[in-house]
Amino acid sequence: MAINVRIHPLHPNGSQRVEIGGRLDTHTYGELDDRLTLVLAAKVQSLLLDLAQLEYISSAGVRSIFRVRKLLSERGGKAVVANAQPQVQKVFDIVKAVPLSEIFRSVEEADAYLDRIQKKIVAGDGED
Amino acid sequence: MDQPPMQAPSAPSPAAVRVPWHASLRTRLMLWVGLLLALLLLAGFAAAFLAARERVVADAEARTRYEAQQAADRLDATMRSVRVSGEAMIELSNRVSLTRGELLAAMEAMLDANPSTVGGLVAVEPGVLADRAPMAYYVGIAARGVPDRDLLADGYDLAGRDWYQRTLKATSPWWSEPYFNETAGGRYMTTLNLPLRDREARRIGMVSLDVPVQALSSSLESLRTVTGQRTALFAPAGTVAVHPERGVAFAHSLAGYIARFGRGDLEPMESARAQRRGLQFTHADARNGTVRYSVLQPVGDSGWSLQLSLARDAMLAGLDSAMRMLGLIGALVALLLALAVLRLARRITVPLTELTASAGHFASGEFDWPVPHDARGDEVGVMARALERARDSIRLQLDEIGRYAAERQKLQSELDIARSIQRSMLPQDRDFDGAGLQYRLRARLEPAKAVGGDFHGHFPHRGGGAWFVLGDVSDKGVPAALFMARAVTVLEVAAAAGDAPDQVLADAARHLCEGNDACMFATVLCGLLDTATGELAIASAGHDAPLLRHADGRIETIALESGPALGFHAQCSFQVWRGRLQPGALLFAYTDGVTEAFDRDDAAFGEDRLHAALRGSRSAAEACDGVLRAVHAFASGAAQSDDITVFAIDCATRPAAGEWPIRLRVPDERARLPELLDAVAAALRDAAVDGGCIHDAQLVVEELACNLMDHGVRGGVDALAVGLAIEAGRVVVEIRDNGAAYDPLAHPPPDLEADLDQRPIGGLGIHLVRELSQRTVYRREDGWNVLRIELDAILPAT
Repeated sequence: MAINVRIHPLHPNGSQRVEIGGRLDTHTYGELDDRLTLVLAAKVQSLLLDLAQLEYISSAGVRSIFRVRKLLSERGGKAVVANAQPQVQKVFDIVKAVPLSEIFRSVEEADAYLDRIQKKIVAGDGED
Repeated sequence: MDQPPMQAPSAPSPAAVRVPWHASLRTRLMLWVGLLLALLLLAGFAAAFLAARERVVADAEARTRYEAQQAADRLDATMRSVRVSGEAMIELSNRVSLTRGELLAAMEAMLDANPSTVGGLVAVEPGVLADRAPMAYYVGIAARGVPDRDLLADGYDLAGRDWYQRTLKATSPWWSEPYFNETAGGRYMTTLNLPLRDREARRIGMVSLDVPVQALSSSLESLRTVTGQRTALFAPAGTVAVHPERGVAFAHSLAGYIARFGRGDLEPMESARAQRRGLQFTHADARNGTVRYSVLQPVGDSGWSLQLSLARDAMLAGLDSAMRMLGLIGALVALLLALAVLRLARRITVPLTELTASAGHFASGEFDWPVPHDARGDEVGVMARALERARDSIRLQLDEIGRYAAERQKLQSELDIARSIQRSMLPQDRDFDGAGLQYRLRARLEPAKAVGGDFHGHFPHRGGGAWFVLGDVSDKGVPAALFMARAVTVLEVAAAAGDAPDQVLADAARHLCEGNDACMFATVLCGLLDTATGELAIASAGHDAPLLRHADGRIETIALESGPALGFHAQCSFQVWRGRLQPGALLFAYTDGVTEAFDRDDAAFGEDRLHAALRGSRSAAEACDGVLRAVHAFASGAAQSDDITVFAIDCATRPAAGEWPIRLRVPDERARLPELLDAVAAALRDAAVDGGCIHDAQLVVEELACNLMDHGVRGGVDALAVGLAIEAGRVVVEIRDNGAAYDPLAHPPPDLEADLDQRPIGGLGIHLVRELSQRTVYRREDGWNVLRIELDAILPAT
């Protein structure tokens, strides 16, 4: 089984929604890494990883997501997770690679969160 | 690692090289010059002072002597005049027969003519004058405050007076001691008594002349004007007539004064006075320590003595103040000179400071910083130029070091490439399946340098068996590596064509001898394993005989007749040892890097330790790793002196197929992992296990398999197998691998609470396995690591 990655257009709040489907494991994480590297090369502030179609994730896949979060946090950005299926959510719960506050049940909730973050950043810039 | 990183020694900043003022060359130069000058001046002044002092004292003493002489002469003149008056009176009375009245008139005229006298007595014995009556009449000069007095009329007992009797007996005039005279106006007087004789030299009376002491002492007034100079006058019997100290005059004799006031220093003067001789002497007043120079001068033959003394302090007063002034000027000169030196020293110290600052910049690598004062012709210029030369030399050497480092780096990277090429020439470990048995060939090679001369290899035999070779080229490093490459190729070619190890070695010897101008050689062990029967045929070209570890643990050194090493002779023959590798037994071969590994005390590892390390090994991989571990532990950090190669073949019962449905070679067959996961899923679906459990089982297998593929190779893993079972309502997954004993679950859990930025990416897989499973058990079984994972499952009711 393979992995499906679909990258949506840039959201007005500066975040990029990425749908990941299929299996994210030791054989497929490389493909995700390649796709996300292209996305991150642009000046993306935040990533919304929509995992609605993701059936399976192993620690190799978790590491990919972890790596993306680390890269983004270095530039002050966020990578949040939405729509994780129960078995995927279970893995996240165990390894705690993403804080619970940044795992959302729906894309809408995640967007609202990223909007707030964006406003905060803009307000912060204005103060400078 | 709590210690902070060591600070690189920082170059001194120009500010840091500033010398504190008290350590500065300038200050020291100034102080030394000032001190030296002050000492010289002080010594000069002291010498001058001493000389001047001696001179001043001598001068003052001479002056005092002179003045004493002058004063004595003046006094003597006064006294002589009185005596002349008295003698004139006597002459008059002797030569001219005078009446009483005429005698008194003459006396008055005499007294009047001498300003020193204030009165005089004329006494004549009875029967001398014309009226034969005695006479005793005192003639006073009314103008000088002294009245006349007729002593005879007053009933004065003249004859009863000592001084009258003494005068009558005297042959010459004599001066009386001073006495207080009420009649003559309450003054101290001294009297010159002269005897009166007739022509027959009979004593007929006397004449005396009174002189106030004041008249004598007034001539000494001028002496008192000199500071520190004192005068004293002593009467003939020693009575003090004039004395600078209040209350001494007329109250004491000199002897009495000496006794009364503790003036022992004046004793010599008293004895000189008594003998009527002069004396010059220096004495100290014991009462106040005053040192004085005194001159005692007798006043003519009158019996009086004059003392003139001058205090030593007074003599030196002028000298002292002059010396003080000179000292002050000297100190000022020393100070000015020291300041001048301070200014001059700037010409040395300022350039020195600037040069030091430049040196500081060189130390921090700023070699283009200019060196000041390098054009000066003095020592500073010499130093500046020396500094410049040193700087240029350092810069040159640094450049050279940089060039060497670059070359070395290039060489190193070439060596790294050579190393990876050489490693790629060594074959992978391999298993050969026989009839129900499995022969596992394992080898490990650790070069002492980047590249080495040890080698091992195995090639398939055209008859169905396996060739194996193990060799050690003389020397180490690049030359050995090149010869090793040739040896491996030659041996492989020879093995492909040969059927017996002695033939292969003989063939290889012939080829390796050709064109071996460098005289390199290799010791080689060559063997053939018949995988169908387990039979072994081994030949040695100068190599250590291999060891056979039997199933019962006994270790046998194979009795192998060795031939010459390859590379010496083109024609040589070799003996062949034949034997069989039984199940559970193990053939172990090695290069001398093992037995000749040295510890820090230069002791060799040796065969005994090799046997001990080998004894407990249960598989070829364990034997190789165990021996290497033992060698490393023995050397414990001592530098590796030679390439180390170990090689082992074991014979094990092959695990039955089906029990372990899926076997993967690690890490070559990583791509087959999805196949493995699919097989796991399919097997569990067949058993109607729920989807969640299948997911977890797949996750567990993937994590553990990946872990083995990523990290297991280091531990000698080259095969893994997965078994599945359903026991007591749980899915049991067993994963086994043939690496060195290692329990992955013993790995500490990752710190999941750490900040996202701080957390390492990794260590998550094992954590997942641990969290997903209900129970995990690790065991070691027949050379395999076996990890048993139990997962909760929802199973259909049976």
